[in-house]
Amino acid sequence: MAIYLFQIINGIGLGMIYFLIAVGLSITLGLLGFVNFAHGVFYLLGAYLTYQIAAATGSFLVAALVAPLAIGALAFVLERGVLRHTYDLPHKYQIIATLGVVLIVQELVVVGWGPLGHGVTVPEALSGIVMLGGFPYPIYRIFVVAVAALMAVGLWLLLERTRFGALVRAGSESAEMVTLLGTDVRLVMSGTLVLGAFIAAVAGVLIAPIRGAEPNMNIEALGIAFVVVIIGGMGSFTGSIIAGILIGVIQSVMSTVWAEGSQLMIYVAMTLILIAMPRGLMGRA
Amino acid sequence: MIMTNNTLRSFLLIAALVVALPFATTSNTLAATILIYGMAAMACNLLVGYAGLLSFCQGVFFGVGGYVAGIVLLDTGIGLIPALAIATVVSALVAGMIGAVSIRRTGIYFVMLTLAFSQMFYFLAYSQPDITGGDNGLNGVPRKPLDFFGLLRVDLDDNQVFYGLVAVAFLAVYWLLRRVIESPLGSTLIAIRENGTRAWAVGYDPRHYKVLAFVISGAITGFAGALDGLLLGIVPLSNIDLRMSEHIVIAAILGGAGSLFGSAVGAALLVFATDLLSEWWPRWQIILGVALILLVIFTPDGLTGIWQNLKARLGSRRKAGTPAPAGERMGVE
Amino acid sequence: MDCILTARGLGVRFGQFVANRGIDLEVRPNSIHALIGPNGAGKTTCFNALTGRLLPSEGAVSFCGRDITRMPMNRRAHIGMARCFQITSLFQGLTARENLRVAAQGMRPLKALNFWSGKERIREASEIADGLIERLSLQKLANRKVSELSHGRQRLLEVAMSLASRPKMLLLDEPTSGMGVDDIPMMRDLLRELSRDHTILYVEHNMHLVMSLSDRITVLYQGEVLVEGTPDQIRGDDRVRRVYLGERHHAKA
Repeated sequence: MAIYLFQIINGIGLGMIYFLIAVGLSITLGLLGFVNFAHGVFYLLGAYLTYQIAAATGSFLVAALVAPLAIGALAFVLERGVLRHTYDLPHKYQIIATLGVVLIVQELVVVGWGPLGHGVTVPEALSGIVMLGGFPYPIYRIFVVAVAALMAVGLWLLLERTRFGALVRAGSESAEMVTLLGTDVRLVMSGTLVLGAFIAAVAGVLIAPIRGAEPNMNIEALGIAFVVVIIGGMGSFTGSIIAGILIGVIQSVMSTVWAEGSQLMIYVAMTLILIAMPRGLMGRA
Repeated sequence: MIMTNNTLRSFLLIAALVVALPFATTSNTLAATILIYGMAAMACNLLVGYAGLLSFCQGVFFGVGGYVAGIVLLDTGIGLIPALAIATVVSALVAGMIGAVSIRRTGIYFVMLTLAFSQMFYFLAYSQPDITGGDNGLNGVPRKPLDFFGLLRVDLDDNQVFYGLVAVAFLAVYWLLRRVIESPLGSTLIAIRENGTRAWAVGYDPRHYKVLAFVISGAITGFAGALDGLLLGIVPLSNIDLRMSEHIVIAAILGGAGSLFGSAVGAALLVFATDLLSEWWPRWQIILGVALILLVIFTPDGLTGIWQNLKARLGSRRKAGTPAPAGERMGVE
Repeated sequence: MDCILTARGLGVRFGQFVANRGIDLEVRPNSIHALIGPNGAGKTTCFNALTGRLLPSEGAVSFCGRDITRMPMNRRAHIGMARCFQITSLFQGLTARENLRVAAQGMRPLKALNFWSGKERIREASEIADGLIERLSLQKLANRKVSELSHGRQRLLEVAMSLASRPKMLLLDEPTSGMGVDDIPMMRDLLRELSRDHTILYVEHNMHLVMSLSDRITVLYQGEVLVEGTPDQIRGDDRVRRVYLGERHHAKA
């Protein structure tokens, strides 16, 4: 029994990370109008930069602060340099362009860090366990939940209470709406992409001490982000949180019961939910 | 009649290319690989280019075809042709199921859903090493001989003979897909792609046709995957992973979505480049990535676009003042 | 059998917003019935509910004695109701003829599952398409891509598309929308000719056209039926005049 509770806490932590990846993706989906396959690489680089910076400076904190900012900057360059030139093209070509970016980054990562993964040690201050109600819980996992929750709140405030957030929300319905509001769409696009990348990078930072950094993690992340968006509903914040946690818990619990099938169960759950609730968890397609 | 003159000419041209291919590549295995991926790319094009369904789960059908054929040939006494048939049918069924669920969504949701299914089947294959060999792949797939009801037996151990089989298969698939595109189904899919709402209004339920397109595409892709398993003697796990789906889509679009032969050419280039460049630089896909970005920005219609531009320029020099009939597609299709 | 389109207590709600409420409507066979009202009256919503594009929140719609309230758009085409769109909604990348052929083929959707024979093998569809091209004098444009046609011709093709299914009833959403003054008489004559064999329900803003063409007019205002009657009755009605007082100056030509 204890092991299941343990895994549920783990699962919530994992789920919050999945939520972050997904929400970073969904704010760009409506605005771009196509699926940015490159979203996964922000997560990937988040983990790798954490590894690199932590190894270089000996401080996880420095890595955690610098990595997302660096990746945000990279996203800005990506938007200006590549994506901007594709906005008038049909969606399939836009996706191909992002696939090109993914290929480049994935290979460069292998060039830089080799084909095998790298572990990242949990920072001293956050390692160890805390006893709650007689059960041991890893402090780092609780930290992850706390950070993700904080980011969720911060993001919610940004989206609901600031002008930029209003534009992003309008943009997630349609890019035309933003133009009608009299703003330069391109600024909003850049901003949204940078924000989305930043959030995904934070997710990468958080996962690094749990899973390490390895060259295929962007593909895994993309798949999971899609599942969260599909069953949580695209415009729904709450839906994404619920979906993310659900998936995280399923995966964590399954890893005790049937390790090889833990990833599979995520997708099986998605299929079952889709069949039972065609409009997703929140009742909105 | 089986084909119009134009189509017959195109078909013969392609047949000639197919015959010449193993000599051009000096490797029967490489030539067969090109045709196998060519079939997968053309089948993908039916969905992407004609039906407007950007499917990122073609690798599922490719892998399923390979695994099913491999398992049937390894574990049963069933002969080659029935094994291929079973693999094709199973892939078609899987495609029908995935298609039926995926088309409940459109646009970006559809894309995400197909990718999610791609991951699902990847993990399914990964988690059943007893059936699929897991990470190690399905090994020792026997290349049983072709057996026509005991009357005629063709041994396929010689790679040249096997290439002959693949070549015939490729031409048959090309012909079939041409027919599909020019059939009522094909024209309906194209109309649905152009305007789904209008299609509803004039009496179609677009979902039926989209699922049928999936079934046809899945069947052909599975068939190709089965041939791949026979060619290599192994069905690797990578045949069913997301990268495979991505590469198939890239091949289909590289040649020009909406041009059947174009996507086969796209596949040929991709396979050729992989073979050539991967020996020289293991990280050659960086070049591919850059090439894709440049292609999208500068010639999004892919190779077919370049080809059609060339033909237009040559054509206009010869017959100045004669407009091309609207809707007619130029060149080899 | 006399095929009448009836709506009883039709209502459409979007969340809290009530777009239509308690609409009763009866379109008599072979008549031309107009649905008008100032902007925001809910005409398009009502029209979409009648044609199956929207699900009504309350009330019932029936056609030829059958309840069609929840019937999807494609089935309505099969029972003889054909609709046109306000914003031209053709198969843009296809030729005019192919548009018509596909529309005609839609009456036999099972045959469209045929993935083997050439599409021209479905003779009936090809013949209907060719017939419509003749009837509407579109021969010169038949093999041009729709995207290359002028707006007026595209609107004409919109109507032609709905004829391809040999319907009993035509439902047209602002058929003259965006048309130039020169093209409108062409549309009016076409509609008048069509009314001999078909029942027509149409939404319009063009008052001149509505008054000269319609047998009956239903006026919507704020989602409900304000009044219904003949053009003379509507012309003389005080309520209609009041409701349109600002609108007449903004009526689309």
